[in-house]
Amino acid sequence: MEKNKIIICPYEEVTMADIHKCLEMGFTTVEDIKRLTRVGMGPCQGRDCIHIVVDEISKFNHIKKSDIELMHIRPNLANIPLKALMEHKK
Amino acid sequence: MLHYDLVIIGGGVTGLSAAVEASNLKMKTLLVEQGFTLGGHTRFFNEGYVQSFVRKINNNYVDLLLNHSVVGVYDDLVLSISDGNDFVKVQTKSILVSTGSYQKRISFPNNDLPNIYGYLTLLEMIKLHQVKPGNNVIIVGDEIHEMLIETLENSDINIVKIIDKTDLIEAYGDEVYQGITTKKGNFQSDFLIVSDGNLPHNEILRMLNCEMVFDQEEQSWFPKSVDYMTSIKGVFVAGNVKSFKNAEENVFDGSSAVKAIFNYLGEMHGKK
Repeated sequence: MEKNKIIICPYEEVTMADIHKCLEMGFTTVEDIKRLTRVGMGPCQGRDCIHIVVDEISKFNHIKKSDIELMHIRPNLANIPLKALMEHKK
Repeated sequence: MLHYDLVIIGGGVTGLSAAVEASNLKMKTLLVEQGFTLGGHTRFFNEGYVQSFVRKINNNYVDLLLNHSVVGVYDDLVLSISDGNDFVKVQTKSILVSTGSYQKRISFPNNDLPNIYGYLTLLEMIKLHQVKPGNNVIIVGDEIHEMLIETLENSDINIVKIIDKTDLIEAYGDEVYQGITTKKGNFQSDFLIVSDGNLPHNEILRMLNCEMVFDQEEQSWFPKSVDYMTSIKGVFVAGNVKSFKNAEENVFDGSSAVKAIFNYLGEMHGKK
């Protein structure tokens, strides 16, 4: 199977090959893989992709999915232009 | 800063039925919906049902904010809400999270080819935009909604094959999708639908650090709740983000949650 043709995050162009490379290097948390690949940092903020990352961590390390911590969700969930923040001062 | 008794996040049937109940109870309410239309996924199946709720919302009590999404939410019940150009800050006494669910993507080689759609995307194209992407289709996935089959039949789209997810090897095509290779042979179609069920839209709850429980059956995280209130004071949940249900059950959930919120706010007020 061509892992580099399986797209996990279309926004950040993260492939299954990228995820497996992280796993083989010994990174086993969603947060680690997020920081290394930018998966989950696109406009959908992990909505479309993190479940696939969790599946792969679970399969690779034989861990139950319920034992895998999801990534932290922080504001902002969507983009706000800097202009809006500047004007908001008043 | 705007002030409300209740902010409802998500304008699907759960949020709409909650807004109707809030109208009846004369609560000053803001309903925030990310899309341009109300009714969520139910709109693809039963527009009349959705409109029956929209008509009952009293605009004297409920403000509707379409095409806006909640970008930040904090446990002192302050929210920031944006349409991508500007944002507003809202202080509320309670929040109802009714963000529902979203189609699950699956991973297979060439899953980014054009003409591969999620089942909700396809229903939206056909039902809301009257766009027919092709004459024959292959469906892959474990959860196939009967409404999807019905919609395809009514649109004269021929179902070439329904493929089990575990049999799928890869999709192929030169720049656009042409067909799939499976353990049982190769099949061709104009387009491919991925229909593998939904995931709860729980980002708002997780931003608030609500206590979550892993549901073995759905293989997803859902919030802990007691009488619709999550582990965060004043933050309530209803609808598919609480547990997967059908539209009628979600409608009941939405109005029951608002009754619980009304009682909660009454008790809070009594204490003062």
